[in-house]
Amino acid sequence: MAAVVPSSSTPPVAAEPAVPPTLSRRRQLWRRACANRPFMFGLGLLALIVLLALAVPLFYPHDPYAQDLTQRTVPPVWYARGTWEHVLGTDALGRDYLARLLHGGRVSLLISLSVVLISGSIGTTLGVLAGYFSGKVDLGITFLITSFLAMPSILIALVIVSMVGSSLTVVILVLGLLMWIRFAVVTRTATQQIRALDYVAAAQAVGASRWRIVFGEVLPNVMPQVIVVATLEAASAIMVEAALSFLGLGVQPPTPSWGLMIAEARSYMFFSFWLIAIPGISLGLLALAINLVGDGLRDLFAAGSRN
Amino acid sequence: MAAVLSPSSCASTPALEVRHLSVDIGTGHGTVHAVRDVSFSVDPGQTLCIVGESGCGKSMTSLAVMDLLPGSARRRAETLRVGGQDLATASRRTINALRGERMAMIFQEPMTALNPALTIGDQMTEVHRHHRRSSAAEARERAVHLLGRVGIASAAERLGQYPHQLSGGLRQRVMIAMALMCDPDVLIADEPTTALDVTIQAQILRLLLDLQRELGIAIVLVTHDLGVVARVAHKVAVMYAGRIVEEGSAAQVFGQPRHPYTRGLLRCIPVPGRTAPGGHLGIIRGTVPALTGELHGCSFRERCEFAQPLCETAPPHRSDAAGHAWHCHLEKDAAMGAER
Repeated sequence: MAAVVPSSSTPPVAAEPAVPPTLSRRRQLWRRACANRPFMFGLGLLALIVLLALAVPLFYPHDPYAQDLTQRTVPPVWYARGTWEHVLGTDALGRDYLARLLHGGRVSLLISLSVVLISGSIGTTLGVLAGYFSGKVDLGITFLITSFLAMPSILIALVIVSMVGSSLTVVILVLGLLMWIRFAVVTRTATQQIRALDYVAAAQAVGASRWRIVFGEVLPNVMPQVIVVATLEAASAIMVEAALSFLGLGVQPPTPSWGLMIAEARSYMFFSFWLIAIPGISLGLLALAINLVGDGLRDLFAAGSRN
Repeated sequence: MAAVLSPSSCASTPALEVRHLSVDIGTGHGTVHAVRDVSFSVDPGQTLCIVGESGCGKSMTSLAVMDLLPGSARRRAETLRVGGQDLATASRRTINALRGERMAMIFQEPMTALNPALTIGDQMTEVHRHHRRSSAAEARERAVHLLGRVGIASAAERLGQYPHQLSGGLRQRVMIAMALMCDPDVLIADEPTTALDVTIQAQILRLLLDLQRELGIAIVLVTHDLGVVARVAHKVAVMYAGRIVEEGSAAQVFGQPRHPYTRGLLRCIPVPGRTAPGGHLGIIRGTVPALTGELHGCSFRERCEFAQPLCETAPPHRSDAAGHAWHCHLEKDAAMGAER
């Protein structure tokens, strides 16, 4: 009968070559990041904005709340009437515009960061749970997602803010509770893919409990997607906050906010154009920087998972 | 189908004992009976190879033992004993405590069976720390020791690497080392060499055998590669359409195959010197029957060259004194005579 001949002369277990002198994962990532021009530009711009907003107010002499009615609508320094006393001029109440801009930047950054933290935790938790536990859990969470998707979030935010009253905390909470949907959608799909992979079964095979698998195996692997969504949502949170403040339902005066500054400046836009242009450009630059960083991160992670 | 136990396994307590295991999978088109009343046992230090075509239920059997079946599948078993502990009725907590500790599994695809987001060291030490409540340093020491044992040079540096930095063979070695972290009694390997190239296959098999001799692990090797089976198996179980149709020692199954299906499988292997160049290899006509619904009679009869009207009824369980067992209506001598 056909006996399969065992080849008895296999070489002894080959000693694998020593660890190749590869760069560490972080170094490789950094090298690829440096090659990505838009990403580096966005990162630089973002770092600059954060640095200005956080550091400069510490030693800048003007108080953003101090009014000086004798110094109303002083134009910035590059106009003929401009002075170095008020580099970006003053607003209609004589408050230093640079001080207000920097404080407004702090508000915008604070809002984007906290909104992303809140909505990211809610969305990622729900998305991973829906993706991992399928069945009834998935049905319930998908229903929640679709019902939120069906409602225009800015409208809901307007309604809630006008009912509850507006303050920085309320704006952050409302946006945080409304903007988790994209996190949930993305992590749910990613989790469904990951759940079917062998390493999840392998983790089960070594006795890991469900929660261990969700937090130890699935979560680290959806983090790249979560980070990308987080940057894009941060930009969108800043824009929505500006829109709310512009409509008078966001940050309340006299707290400076870029959206509020645009709103306050709109009656002066024909005679003092800088009042509306400066916060507008700042807002655009910040959103651009965050979006570039987000796009770059997505490319980096996609390339990272390929090799 | 009766439990098939060879006399040798009665001497000591088997490391793994499975009796009357069935797996049903609910689908939109009715229930698929993927595994039907399968029984086997493996002694410490022995290797049982489960062989068969794709879709014969061999992977489902191994997943059922590890309780890793998909959500739509249901498992029924009279006995499913690992190291004396019955898993058939155990709670999930008990099973989780046993998995990784007493029984471990090696997967087919070393490329996807390691978590890409964690370092090798993290994944290896986690198992040990979880089951043994050991310190990070102890677990790390154990991981370094085992990586060295499975033939990985500069083990300490490898611990800090990510799976994508390792080759397929290295990853499979890491999988083996990880499976051995807690000194399991039973190791289930589901086609562990299929995704590797031939030279690496030989190395991995050699490694498994060496480790078995050294540690006395019982190995269940699921494979469709009969060449692998011939090299490593102590016992062989041939599965067809969810059933074990023939079981015995490697010498018995390869030397005197009784079931027509086993003989057909063996004819499909090219043998240097015996298969004429350019000549035809054996084939088994037809395909595996659909596994939905009940099977009446012998499931192989539609493809069997010895099929007779009698095959419409359930085939009897035949065995000889040496523990060779098979399920077929054919008389032993008739079958052997037809073979000549």
